[in-house]
Amino acid sequence: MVKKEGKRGFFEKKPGKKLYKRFRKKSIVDAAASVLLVLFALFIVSPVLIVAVRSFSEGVQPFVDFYVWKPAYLRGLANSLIISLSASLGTVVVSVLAAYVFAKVKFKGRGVIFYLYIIVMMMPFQVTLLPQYIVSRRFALYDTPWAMILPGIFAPFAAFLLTQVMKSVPDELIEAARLDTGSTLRIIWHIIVPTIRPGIICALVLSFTEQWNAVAEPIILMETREKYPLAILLNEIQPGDVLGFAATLMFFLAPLLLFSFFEDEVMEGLGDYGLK
Amino acid sequence: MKKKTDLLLLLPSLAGFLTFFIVPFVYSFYYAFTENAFTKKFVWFDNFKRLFENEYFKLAMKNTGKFTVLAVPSVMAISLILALLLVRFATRLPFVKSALFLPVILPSATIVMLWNAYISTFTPFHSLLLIFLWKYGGLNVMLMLTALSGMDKSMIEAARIDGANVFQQTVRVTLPNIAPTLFFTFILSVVNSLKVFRESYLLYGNYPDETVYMLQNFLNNHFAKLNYQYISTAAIFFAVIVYTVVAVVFVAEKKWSESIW
Repeated sequence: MVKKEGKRGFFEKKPGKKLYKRFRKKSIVDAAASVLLVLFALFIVSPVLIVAVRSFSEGVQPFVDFYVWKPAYLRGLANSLIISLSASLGTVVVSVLAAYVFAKVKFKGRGVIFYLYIIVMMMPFQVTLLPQYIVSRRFALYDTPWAMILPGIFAPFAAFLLTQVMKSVPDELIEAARLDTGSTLRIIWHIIVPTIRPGIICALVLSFTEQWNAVAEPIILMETREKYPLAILLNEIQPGDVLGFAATLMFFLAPLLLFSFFEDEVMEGLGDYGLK
Repeated sequence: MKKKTDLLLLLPSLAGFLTFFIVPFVYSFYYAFTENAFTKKFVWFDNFKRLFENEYFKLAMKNTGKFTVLAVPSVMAISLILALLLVRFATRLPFVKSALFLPVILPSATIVMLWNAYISTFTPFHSLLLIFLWKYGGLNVMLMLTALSGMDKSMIEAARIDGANVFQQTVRVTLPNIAPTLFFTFILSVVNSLKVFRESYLLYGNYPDETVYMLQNFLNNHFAKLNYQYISTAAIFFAVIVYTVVAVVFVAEKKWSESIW
């Protein structure tokens, strides 16, 4: 910091005095900005803290109630896990392969197909919901978990993100691996996947939370209450009910654990997401 | 790298993408221009005409439009200011960076639970607006921050030596430099502002206050009646509007970053 100021001072006419003034003014502004940012971060985190404190305010009883007396919630939790895990794992597998082709194989029509992926990715879900409904009816997926899982697997988001990430893998690395093996699948598995691990984890975490938090899709694509994911059931708990806080805490535990475990990877992967 | 069979790797993704997104979307065009599922009569724009005369559709479009027009510029402005501040402190305050991303992964149900318990004094419309800012502000800051920290510092330094003040440095050098990211976050914000139905549904159910009756409520209520014609007509009309906005912003962004350089 001070060193930088010294450099700047080189262009000033009276370095000594101005430098001092400037530095002091800057550090006050810096301090104010830091305080502002920390306050803002606290404001953002506060809901999590409040929920955690409230749900433990009556000991572990609400959690016992949640697990023992409310099988409906437990089933909801299981439904959410099944849907979110299948969709996110599936989409990553399918998309790594597609991303390899988009990023590393030149062919006619590649640009057009990739643009189609981007267009659908940006499409508001209000527009894609009817198509999904039509397909789920036609293929008898309606009111089964597959009605959520399959569109989740083939959603273009992961393919887009992984293509962006894959572009940064040097061609030389792949060419070198070609000398050892003729199988592209083996190159992807042994060379590319370890290289783009952060991107893959980022796609996995974001796809998982997207499915985990889905509300509109299950309402339209399912009708049996026993098949609903937890997100829909939480809605029915009375506001202020301590059980509600316990259930809410259980509900966001999965995304929270995933994120805290893979924070660095998610942040790194998101960096590539922004670079269009 | 030039292996013909490599193209096959695209197949699983592309087949599913076509089956679950493209083909049914084309199908919904068919619905939008036919009378009903039984007669299958081609009726040109009759469905659109009927839709525009529907009071609830007009209300839903008005509310959705109003929400997006208010929410997107606010979230862009707030997150840009925060990102410009934060870029100086990113290394010193890693806690802030992680906190910003939290709302993105936090389920809407959590927020709604708290909102109901503590902060229900706002009007429904303002509640949704605040929740939106809370939820997506952080993501935008993250994306802008990545672009800002990847920027070439020497350009700002050059502008400073030429006598540009902090404001000029920001407007003339920094912003045009991250224009593609700004464009991207803008589009993302538009799409996300349309997702606010999640919170709306969790807070107010299927029949909310008139001020927050959004397009999704309209579509949901017609799903209940299995009215394909209405839903697909509304969806197509909606898609046209969204992509027009995207196209206009895209052209504007191109012009803007070219005019500077």
